[in-house]
Amino acid sequence: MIGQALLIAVSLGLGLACAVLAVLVAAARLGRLMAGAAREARLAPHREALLVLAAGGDEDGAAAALRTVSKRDWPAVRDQVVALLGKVRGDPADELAWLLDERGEFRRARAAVRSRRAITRARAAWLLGLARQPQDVTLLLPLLADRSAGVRGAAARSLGSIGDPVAAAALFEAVQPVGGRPGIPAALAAETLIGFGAGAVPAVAGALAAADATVRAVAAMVAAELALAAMAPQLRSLLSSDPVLEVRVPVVRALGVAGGAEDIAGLAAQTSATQPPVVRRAAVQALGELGHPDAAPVLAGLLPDQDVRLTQNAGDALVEIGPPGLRELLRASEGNDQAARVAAGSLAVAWLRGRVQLPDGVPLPGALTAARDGSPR
Amino acid sequence: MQVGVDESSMAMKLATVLVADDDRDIRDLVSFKLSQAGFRLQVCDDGITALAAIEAEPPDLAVLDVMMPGLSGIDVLRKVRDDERLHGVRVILLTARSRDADVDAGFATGADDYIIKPFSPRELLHRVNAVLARPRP
Repeated sequence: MIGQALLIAVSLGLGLACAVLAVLVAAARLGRLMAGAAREARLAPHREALLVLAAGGDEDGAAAALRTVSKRDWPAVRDQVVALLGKVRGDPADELAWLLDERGEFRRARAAVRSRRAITRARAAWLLGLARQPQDVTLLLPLLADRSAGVRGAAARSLGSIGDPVAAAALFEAVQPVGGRPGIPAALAAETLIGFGAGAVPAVAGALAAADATVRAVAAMVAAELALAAMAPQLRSLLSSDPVLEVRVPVVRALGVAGGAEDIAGLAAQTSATQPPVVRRAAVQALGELGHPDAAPVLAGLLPDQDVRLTQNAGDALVEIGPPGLRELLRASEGNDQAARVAAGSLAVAWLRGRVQLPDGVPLPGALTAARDGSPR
Repeated sequence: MQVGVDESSMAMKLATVLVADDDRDIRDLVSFKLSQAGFRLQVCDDGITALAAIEAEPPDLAVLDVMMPGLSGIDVLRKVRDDERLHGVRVILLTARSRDADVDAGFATGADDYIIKPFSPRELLHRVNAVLARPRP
């Protein structure tokens, strides 16, 4: 009897808790809807002026009209200006930024980078990135070591928006963990540094020699994306000595775009069956990127490999090399083994993409005939 | 989903441009700039609606975002290029994807032009006019 009463009481309690939660969720959603509607209502009278300003060619005095927006409407207008500022560039971006500056938004953001609230610091960092003022770099750099990951990310993105390479070395440092907190994501750091272009080169050189593996990996990513031939000697040194897989893979990729004929032997060694698959595949692609005829025999030798993806990469890389690579593929396609199938497949895809042009009078190999006729070989 | 047609922009017969982007600000901005220039507009907020609109009433030019719900801009472009009835539709991709590989993929799929966000509305208008001035394939 007592057990049954207890069960009913617990069920009722749970039901009541669920009902309260449902009411709370509904109330929160309703609140958000109402706040959104109120914001839209405040923004509506100013939306067209904002569009005129953001579209450029303000001949109707839209900027002047927006300068007189009431204090009550300003928060809605400000949020929309910030949203548009991230989407346009050129004169319209300058006009929008000027509007924010006139209303004191950047001045407040400069003070807010020291706020106790992480959301306020992140917002301030974001806003300073939109302002694109080089003098704000010194305010943003300390935020790369902020205790909040959101603030660190916003600071990195804003430093990228400002585009002053003076921040490059600090961005490399920021990928390292600080006080038990993870650094900024390697991809974010690399993307920002790539945006600095040639200005990042001195920092890349230092970062390739860093003790931290993530820093070296990011430096190699940047060297690859910017095709920094000046970094090739350091990259070669890392290729032969760096024990960390996450570093060797971007180093291999970087040598594919920044290296030369002297790197063929080193990259060929990375395709050895004793190497991890990810390194082997990267090395095959890098040999294709180099585009040197001496890489063709190395790649042709990988067509019978047991790693199917590697063999496909080797076929594609041979196509990248051009006539010497295509000759290797044609030779391999005449057999009746796995290498022949891979070679025929690569040739067929290349032919369909218009990458293969046979001299007049030379008959199409079987794979190309099948591709032309739309039938499987 | 939303499809709108602005037929009041100009009395004179000008080209029709379809604008597809899931970001309302970008849709409004591009539409505003192009309608100011007198183009007739079709506006969509996802790839599926954009493709349906293009098939129903082929525009002279489509300005497509790449990352859209449903079908991406690249998917829409591929379907447009695969459809012989739509071979006259010129396509500009307007996207935040700025890597060389993304640009290569856009042109390889058949884009007539590729504009990276953040963008200049004035430059967009110039590019729209330039693409439309080219002879049809």
